Formats: sequence, C-alpha cells, structure tokens
Amino acid sequence: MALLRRLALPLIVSGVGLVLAVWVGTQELDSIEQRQLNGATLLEKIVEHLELAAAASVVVVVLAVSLGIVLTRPGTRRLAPAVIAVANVGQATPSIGFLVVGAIVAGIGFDRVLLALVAYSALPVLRNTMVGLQQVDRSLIEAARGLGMSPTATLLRVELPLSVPVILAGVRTALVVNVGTATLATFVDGGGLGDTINSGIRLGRDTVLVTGAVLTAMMALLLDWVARGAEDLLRPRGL
Amino acid sequence: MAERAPGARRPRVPAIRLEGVTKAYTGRVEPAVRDLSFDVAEGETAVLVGPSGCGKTTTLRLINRLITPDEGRIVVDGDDVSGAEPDALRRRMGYVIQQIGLFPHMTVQENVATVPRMLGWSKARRGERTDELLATVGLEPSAFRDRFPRELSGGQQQRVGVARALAADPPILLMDEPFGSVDPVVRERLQDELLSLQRRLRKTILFVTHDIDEAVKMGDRIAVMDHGGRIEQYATPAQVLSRPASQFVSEFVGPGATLKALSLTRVGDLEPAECPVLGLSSDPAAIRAAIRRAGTEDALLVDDAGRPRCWVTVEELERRFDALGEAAIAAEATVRRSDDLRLALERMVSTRAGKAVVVDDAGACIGVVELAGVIAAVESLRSHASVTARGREVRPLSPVSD
Ligand SMILES: Nc1ncnc2c1ncn2[C@@H]1O[C@H](COP(=O)(O)OP(=O)(O)O)[C@@H](O)[C@H]1O
Ligand SMILES: [Mg+2]
Repeated sequence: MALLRRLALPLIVSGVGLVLAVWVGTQELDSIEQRQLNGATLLEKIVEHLELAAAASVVVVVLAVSLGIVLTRPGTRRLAPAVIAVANVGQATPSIGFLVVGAIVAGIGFDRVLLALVAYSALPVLRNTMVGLQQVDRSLIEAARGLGMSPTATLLRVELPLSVPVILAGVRTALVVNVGTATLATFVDGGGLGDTINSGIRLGRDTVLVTGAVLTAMMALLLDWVARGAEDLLRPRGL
Repeated sequence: MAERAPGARRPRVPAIRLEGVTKAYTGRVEPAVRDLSFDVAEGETAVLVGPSGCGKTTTLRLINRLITPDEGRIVVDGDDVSGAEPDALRRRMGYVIQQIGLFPHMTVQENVATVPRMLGWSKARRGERTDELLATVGLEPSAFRDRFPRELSGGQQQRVGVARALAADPPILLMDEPFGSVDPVVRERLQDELLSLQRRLRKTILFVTHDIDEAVKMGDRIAVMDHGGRIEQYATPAQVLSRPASQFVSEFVGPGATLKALSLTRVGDLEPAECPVLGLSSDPAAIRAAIRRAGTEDALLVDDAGRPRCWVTVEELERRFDALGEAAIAAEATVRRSDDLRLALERMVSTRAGKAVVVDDAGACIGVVELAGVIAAVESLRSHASVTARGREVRPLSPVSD
C-alpha cells in the first residue's frame, strides 16, 4: 500500500505520457509537425532541457548553501538582510526579464541561460539554508562547543546534518522552478523544450505546442518525485 | 608515586579558581556575574546552588570559556584559561549542559564518543569505551548503543549525557542541573549512582542545581549563590544548614534545615543508647535483673543468631513470663551504621518502642539508638557544625563576600 502510494506519481505520469503518445500517433502530422515531433528531435530537446535545469540546480545548491552558511555565522550574520533583499529582487523580477537583460549584457547561449536560471532560483535554497541552520536548537550547538568541537566541526557534524531536511526542501523547489524557467531559454537561443513549445506557437501547430508543454510538466513532476525520494533517503536517521 | 591511589590524601590544591570574575552579557547593564571568587579543590564536589537566573550557568560557561569574562581571572589546573586553546581546554572538562543536549541525529554510541572521536581514537577503541561508559551509568550497552536519543526516556538521556561528559576521562566535570528534568524517584537514583561513581573516580566536580536538598546530598562544599553571581556562603553542607551565614541563606535553605541536616549524620556517628540485650530463652529473673542494673525501662531480646526479636518491660515480664517470644513490642525498627539519621528517625517514630536496633549485614544486633541520641547529634551539629556527612574534617566558615 505504501509502495503503491509511493509509485502513484510515476505511474500517473507514465499514463499521461502514454495518452500523449497515442494522441499524437492518431493525428495526421504534416511535414512541419513531423520535423518537430519525432523521437530523435524530442529526445535532443529533453536532454538539453534537463542539462540546463540540472546544471542550474547544481550551481544554485553550491552557491546558495555556501552563502546561507556564511550568512548565519556570527561574524557575517549582519550581512544577511542585505543579501536576502538582493535575492528577493532576483526572485521578484520576471524570469524572462532576466534572460533578455542577460542576453543583452552578456550575449546568448547555455552559460547566459544558466546565469539567469541561477539568479532566479537561488532564493528558495538560500532562504531554506538560513532557516534550516537557524532552527537548529541552540543548546545542541552549546553542547557541541562545550565538549570541545571546533566551529567547523560543529557546522559539519551538528548544524548541517540537522538542517538537511529544510535545505533539501528548498533544493526541490529550485529544481522545479528551474525546469519551468528553462522553457524560456529558447528566446535567447538556449535550446530545450521551450524550442518545441515556441515552434508550436509560432507555426500554429497545436499538437507540437501541447506535446512540448506536457513533456515539460511531466519532467517537472518526475524530478520533484525523485527529489522527494532523495529527501527521504538523505534525512538523518533519528530525527 | 601512586598519586591516584584510592583514598590517598592529597593536598587541597584548587583545580578551578575564579578571581574577581565579572561578566555582563552584551546589551545588559546588570552583570550576570559580578566580582565572583571561589575555588574548587581537586577531587572534590562543589555545588553551586541558587535561584533560577542567579548566574550558575553563566559561571560554568565562563570556566568552560564558552564566554569570556569582562574582568577577573579563571585558573584551571594552574593555568589561566584565557591563555589556553579553548577547544583543548574544553576537552579536559566534561560538560553536562542544562538541556542535556544529546545530538538527535546520532546514536547513543556516537553521542558518547563525541570527544574520543575528536581526539582521534580508533573506531574499536571508541566502541569499547562507549560500552564501558554505558555500563558505568547503568545502561546495558547492547540494548542502548544503537538507539537514537528520541528512543530514550528522560532519565536514560541524562545518563547518556553524563557518559558523554566522562568519555575521554577528563579530570574535571562541569554539571549543569544534570538531573533537572526527571521525576524525583529517578533523580534520587541518579544522584546515588553519581555519588558512588565519584567515590571511585575522584573527579573535580562543579555541580549546579537550584535544589538545596540535592546540593546537601551531592556536595563536599556548597556555594549558595544569590542574583548577580553573589556567593552568600561557601561551606560544608552541615555548616550551611546549621549556621546559615545570612538571611538569604536561611531563607533559601527553608524551614526544614534541621531535618535536612539529619541526612548528613550516620547512625554509626551516634552515641549508642544503654540497653540490655539478652537471648530469647533467658530466665525472666535474669532479664529483670539486667533491666534493673542498666536502669532502663526495657530489654531487647534476640534470637540465637543475634537477630532482634522484641522489647520487654518489667511489667510485661510479670504478666506473661511464660510467653516471652510473644511479649510486648516486636523489635522491627532496624537500621545500619551507614544509614543516615533521617531514616533512623523515621524508623524510630514508626514503632511504639521509639528506638531502633542497629544491625550488621547479617541482621544481628550490634546496638540500639534512641531519639535522645538523635537530638544530641542535632545539638552538636548546631553548636560546632563538627559532624559532617562523610567523615570529612571541618573547615572554617569561609568569609562571606560583600
Ligand atoms: N545569552 C544571554 N544573553 C543575555 N542574558 C543572559 C544570557 N544568558 C543568561 N542571561 C542572563 O544572565 C542571568 C544569569 O543567567 P544564568 O547564568 O543562565 O542563570 P542560572 O543558570 O543561575 O539560572 C539571567 O538574568 C539571565 O537572564
Ligand atoms: Mg542555568
């Protein structure tokens, strides 16, 4: 029963995928549609999309978690409000604005898209890292220090492990945000499923548009599911 | 030189010494601790007792260097702590924090081995040490070492907290209300276990509590602390109870001081009462003669093994001279030499005889104690403060800080 509940999401997503495949299969596809909706092209777009989202997420985790740690240390804690304000601006700016401004300033391509995705999805990870570290019971830190653990050892062996659940929740949010936002990469020639969706719109081919959109949604749902599993695995035992 | 030989008398060298220590937390005008001076002798248990918020925890944190004093000096084992590397200093002092503070994501074994791990002990040695310590604090190693803190009761968590502080065998223990969050029965047991542990280990312990009874029970010396870390009296438990140095101390000790002091004296310290002791099968005439000779009201009859059976008076002898075994009051109230007077008093007043028989391990009578003896002991405690709990010599009352 628990297993069934656990597998419900991938089963439903597979079902949706199947319906999509059958539906596309029954359509009479013209040459434009055929160029977009063939296995090789779609696979290429999916891989591009995944690469973007994954790379952005990795960069975000490294940057935002480190920043979160720095901003909760005694000496540098004062900087936190300023940094959070900047991160809020990143979150509040429409993502397309980031891409366009980024493209104007820095040109186009994978790296620029990455930069925009990172700026846009850093906040949840940063905020959760800080909240996660701040909610660690002060008395545990007192105990660790009182026993002679160095500040670094206290961070690595007590504070971070105890913040893992909260930090991972932020990472999961960032991942989903990145999958969604990566569709906009197409506007600065960044590739991904945004290409499929955009051609569907531009060429007036609804089948193409729907396929691109549904695939993106499926990807977001599946990644969220995987991340949820990772959260369960990585949560320290004993909590 | 066998320095650590059990029972060896060592000079009273201070293991911890505070000299005029003042600390105000940032943002506070009133210092949490002001001009605090006292020392703890090596191998002794000193208790800091005082109301909540008086600065007890602050004092421990200062000694441990979790915070640094604004003024004054703290010396541990002859070294000024301000010159020491804090982490190394802390590893020489086992610290039991007030909130227990077990790491919830680590097993009991990992918690206990925290300091050994930092000291780079091998895994095997850490495992051995953990098992040894768990047994020491009364937890079956195989049942507990792999549990997580949330799978333990409050009392078990406090035991693990103590084991963790003892892990690297530090010469000094700082214990902040270590038995604060358990019920009275468990607390009593934990206290007894720590006392017997301390008899073996002879650590220098600074023990913090807000409970005067716990202080009296645990301490070789008690520092009664008022707000601002002001020490009102630093003396033996007997002195604090019988000769409070200030209004504050007597109010803090409360109305039961005399009864509390009873727990400091052992039955063995009492003047034994005069009482004829005869065998159950003795001739009534002989019993009567013995009573007359001793000038008492009654005699104690014992069985062949010397175990107390009953008290008989002269009148009872006349009435029921044929059935001595059934006569009068059964001699049920017994105490041992090592029992404290509180227990002896309890036993005495719970029987009509009003006295208790002192027995040895085999249950054989070795003497009798009476209410008068207890009263005399209280009297002498009050006038000299000379009889102390564990046969320690009495030190003069230390001057009250102003
Ligand atoms: N971290 C802190 N910051 C500011 N004030 C504190 C802090 N810790 C304790 N205090 C204050 O210092 C005083 C002494 O506290 P503490 O040493 O914890 O007392 P105790 O352990 O005797 O209950 C109290 O008035 C308390 O409010
Ligand atoms: Mg306290």
